[in-house]
Amino acid sequence: MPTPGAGMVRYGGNTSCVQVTLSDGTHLILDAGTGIRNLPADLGRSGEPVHILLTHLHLDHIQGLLFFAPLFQPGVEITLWGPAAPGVSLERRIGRYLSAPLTPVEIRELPCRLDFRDCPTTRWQIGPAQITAEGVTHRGPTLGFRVEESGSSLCYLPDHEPAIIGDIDKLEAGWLSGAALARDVDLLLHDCQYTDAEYPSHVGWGHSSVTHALQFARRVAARKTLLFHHDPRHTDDELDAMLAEARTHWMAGGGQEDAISMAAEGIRVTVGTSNPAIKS
Amino acid sequence: MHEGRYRTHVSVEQHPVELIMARGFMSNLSTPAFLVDRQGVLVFYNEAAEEILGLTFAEAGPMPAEDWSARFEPTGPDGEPVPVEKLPLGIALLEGRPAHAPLRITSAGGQAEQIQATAFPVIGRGGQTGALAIFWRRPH
Repeated sequence: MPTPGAGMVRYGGNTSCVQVTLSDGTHLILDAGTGIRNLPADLGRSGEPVHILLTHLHLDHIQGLLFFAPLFQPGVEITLWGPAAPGVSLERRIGRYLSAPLTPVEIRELPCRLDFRDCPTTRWQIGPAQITAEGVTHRGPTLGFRVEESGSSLCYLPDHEPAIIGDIDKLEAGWLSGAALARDVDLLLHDCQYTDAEYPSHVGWGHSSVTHALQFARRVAARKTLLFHHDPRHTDDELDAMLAEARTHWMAGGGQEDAISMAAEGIRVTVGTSNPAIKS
Repeated sequence: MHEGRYRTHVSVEQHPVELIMARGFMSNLSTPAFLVDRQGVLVFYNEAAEEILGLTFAEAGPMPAEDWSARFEPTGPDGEPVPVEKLPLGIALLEGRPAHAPLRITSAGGQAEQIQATAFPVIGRGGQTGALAIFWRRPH
């Protein structure tokens, strides 16, 4: 859930949303948590396509939809992608949220041109980018996404618990959830909700600890990793401590300190083949 | 690539998440269970299955259908060999439907084991990704 507050100002308290702008101006929006409200209200007004890719339909990943201004702009074209479900369309599943009594607006009332699509099981093209979606281990049907354009790559695994299957370091090749999606990626955004001390009481909740996130990043040889999906209870100071711990462990394993960062609201990352640059 | 304590670079084909989670589930069962992928390759069986089969999965390793069916020599109650496509796991894999049968298998140690086996197809968002069978010793 969103957690605004004085202790959450530096890293922010909104739920998951990442904006990716492709070279041709196409907008990819990864998840529609409350952070989507901070995206420019005029997205899509100039005719550029807007694509929202949902990893799954847990409320913290869709609750920002009602507050996404372009949905209320006539003529804006928005495609909403999500995990397929047998027998139930994505539109109908989203409609469980965007309908009475949960919201005052029905999908059919939205002025934009909204198209619902199930994520394909094979790689597909959006603008100049190749998108891959794969199921990953979380509670309920959940996707991870890989976005590639002109040799640059990003992998988004916001809700992910690969350790639920076994020791990430020891799992045989092919059995590590998300590994094929994240292999050799330039920028990995990975679930890091818990401290190592918190995880034992949250096994099976669908999220990772600091150690799990690092183990995964190392197994897939991600060039840079943004630790993502902060626990709503964690304050800025606690996140600082988690980052320090993560970097210490990473460097102890031979990695570079700047390969690990903590996701924060408003940061911009330029993803390229040499060294993704992160700016606050 | 990073050197040091950690293995890097997963290089073989990724199992679909349904099989990954099936393996995790099976690992925690005391019921013997057997998992094959879409091509019928045996990709995992659990400790309870190891006790009946007389061979750990680590020793056996992934096996194509013709190998695992030959190794454990499944026969019907009449003692006649059952071809893989007629085994519950084979039916689940090839016909995409659950199946059940009493069988006799031979463990790695040569011991005959009377079992009951139930199998069902594993079907994910991209279609069928394999099949899973549970089995247990039949009371004599």
